[in-house]
Amino acid sequence: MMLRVLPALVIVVAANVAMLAGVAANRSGEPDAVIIMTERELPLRFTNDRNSARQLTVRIDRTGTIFLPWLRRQKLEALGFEFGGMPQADTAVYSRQLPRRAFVVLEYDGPAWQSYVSELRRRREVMEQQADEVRRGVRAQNAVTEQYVPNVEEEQASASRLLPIDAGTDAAALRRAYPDRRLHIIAPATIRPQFDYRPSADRVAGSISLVTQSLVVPREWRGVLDNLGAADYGVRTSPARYTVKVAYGSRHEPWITSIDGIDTPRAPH
Amino acid sequence: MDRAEAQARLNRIRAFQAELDQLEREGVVSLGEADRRAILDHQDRLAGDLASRFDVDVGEGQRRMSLGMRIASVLGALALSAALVLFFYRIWGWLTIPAQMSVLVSAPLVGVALTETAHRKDRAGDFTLIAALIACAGIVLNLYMAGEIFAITASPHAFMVWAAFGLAIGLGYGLRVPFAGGLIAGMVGAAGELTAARGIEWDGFLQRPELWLPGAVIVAAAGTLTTDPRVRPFLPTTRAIGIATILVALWILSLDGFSSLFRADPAFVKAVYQILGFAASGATIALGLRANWPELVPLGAIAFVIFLYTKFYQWFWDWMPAYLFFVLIGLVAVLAILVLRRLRRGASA
Repeated sequence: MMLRVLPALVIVVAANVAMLAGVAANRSGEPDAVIIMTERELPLRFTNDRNSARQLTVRIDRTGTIFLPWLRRQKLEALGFEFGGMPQADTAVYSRQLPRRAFVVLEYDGPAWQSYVSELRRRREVMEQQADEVRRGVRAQNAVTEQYVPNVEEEQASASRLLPIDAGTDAAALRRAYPDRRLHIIAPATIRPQFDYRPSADRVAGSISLVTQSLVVPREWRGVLDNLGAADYGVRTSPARYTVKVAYGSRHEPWITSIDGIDTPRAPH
Repeated sequence: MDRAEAQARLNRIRAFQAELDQLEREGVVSLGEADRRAILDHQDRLAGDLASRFDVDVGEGQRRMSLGMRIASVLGALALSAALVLFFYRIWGWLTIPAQMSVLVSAPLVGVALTETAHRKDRAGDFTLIAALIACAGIVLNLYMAGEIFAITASPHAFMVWAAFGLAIGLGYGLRVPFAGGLIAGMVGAAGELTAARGIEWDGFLQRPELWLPGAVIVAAAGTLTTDPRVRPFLPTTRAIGIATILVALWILSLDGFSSLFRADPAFVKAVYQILGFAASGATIALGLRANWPELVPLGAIAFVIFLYTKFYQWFWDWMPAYLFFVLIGLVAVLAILVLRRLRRGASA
C-alpha cells in the first residue's frame, strides 16, 4: 500500500511546500515596489455567478496607441530578438520570431503619463486639422495619418496611468536605473515583435503583455468591490471608485495589500 | 499475476476448450472421459478462481461490457473532475487564503485516499480509474489555482509535477490513462523548460514542433528499450505516445517550414521533414512488425497515409479536377491493400 500511496503523497506535499516557499520568499523583506493605484489601472474583471472570486485586471494598454516609441529594433535586439539581414518589408521576420520573456518597467502617473497626454493632445489637433482638410477637399482621405485619436479629456479622466517605459532581461539593472519604488514597478512580461504598417523608416516594432494580468482579491479586501454592483464590471468608470495598494516582491510577483473606497461628492441637483 | 495476465490465461483456456471440441468433432483426437473430465474440472476451477480474484471477463459479452464500463469510467471521471473544479470556483471567493490552500492541497490528497480505497474494494478497476482521474484533476486544480491566488509568474514547472503525479498514480495502480496523461504532461513540461531556458516565452514551444522532439524521443526510447517486467503493461502506451508525438511534430513541420527552428529556406525545410516523416512512418511499421508490437503497425500506417495524402494534396489539388483527385486517393488505397496483402503472406510464410 505504501508503495502505491507514498510517491503521490510526497509529490503533492513537496510541490506545495516548494510553491509556498517561493511565495514566502517573494513576500519577505522589503517589497521591490509598493504603489497605490486606482480603478483606472486595476478595473474589476468580468465575472459571473459561477465564479465567486473578485479579480482585478492590470491595465497597461493605451487607446489609439499601438506602437511604443521606445520599443523598436535596437531595444528588441537587446532583448534577444534577431532581425539581422532580413528584408524590412518581409513579414516573415515577425511571424518567425517567438515571444521572449523579459522584465518591463511600469511607471505610474509619472512623466511618461504627462508626455502621453501631451502627445495625445498634439495628435488630436492633427486629426481634427486633417479631417477639416479632407472636408474642404485640400487633403485626400488616404493621405490622412491620424485616423483615430481618443478624446483627451476622457483619457485624462479614465485611462490607466500605468505605462510601460522600458524593458530588459536583468531586473536588478532595471531597478538600479529606475530606483523610485513608489513610481516604478518591474514586472515580468512577454515581448512580441510587431510589423509597423506605417511608412516609417524601420518597420520593426514590439508589443508588451504582462505575464501576470490579473490579481485575485483576498476575501478581507473584497467588501469595497462587492458594494459597487454587478453592472459595473468591465465598464470604464469615471471617476475611479476605489484605490488598491499593490506590492511587488523580490520575485516581482504582486499582491494586494489593501483596497479602499474613494468617496466622491454627489453631483448637484 | 495481475488482471491482464489473468485475462490472458482465461482467454487461452476458452480457446483450448473450443479447439478441443472442434478436434473431437472432426475425429482428430478422442480423449477418454476421465482425462477430459480432469482437464475440464481443472480449467473450470482455474477460471472460477481467476474470475473471483481478478474479476476478469469470462465471455465475449462480458468483454464488450467491460469496454463500455471503461469508457463510462473515463466519462464519469471527466464529469466529476469538472464538478470539482466548478465547485471550487463557486466557493473560493468566500474563503480566506489559508482556507483556499487547505481545500486545494486536500483535493489531490483526498483523491489519492479514494483511489486506494477503491483499489482495495474494486477488483475490476473501474472505480479505481475514476478516483485516480479525480486525484489527477485535484493536483492540476491545486497548482493552477494556487498560481492564480498568489499571482505566481507562469512557468512550465507545474507540468513536471503533474507528470510525476500522473506517472506515480498510473504505475502504482496499474492504470494506463493517468500514466498516459503523465507522459504527455512530462513532454509538455520538458519542451516548456527547454524553451524557457533559451529566453523564450515557455509556451512558444507550441509554435516550434522541433522542441517537442527531445521529450518525445526520450519517451519513445523508454518504451522501446525498457525491459523491466514490472512496467511491461505500460510499454505499449509509452511507445505509442512517444512515437505519435514524433510523427505529429514531423507532419506539422512538413506543412509549415516557418515553424522550424532552422533558418533555412522554408521550402527546403518542408521537403526535409516530408522525407523524414515518410521514413519515420515506415520505420514505425517495420519496428512494430519486427518486434511484434502491434500498437505500432496501425500507428505507422495511419501516419504514412496522412503524409502521403498531404503530399498528394499539395501536388495535385490545385490543378487536378476534384473527382480525379479522389479517384487517385482511392487507387492509392487499393494499391496499399495489395501491398499489405503481399506483406501479410510474406509474414505468414
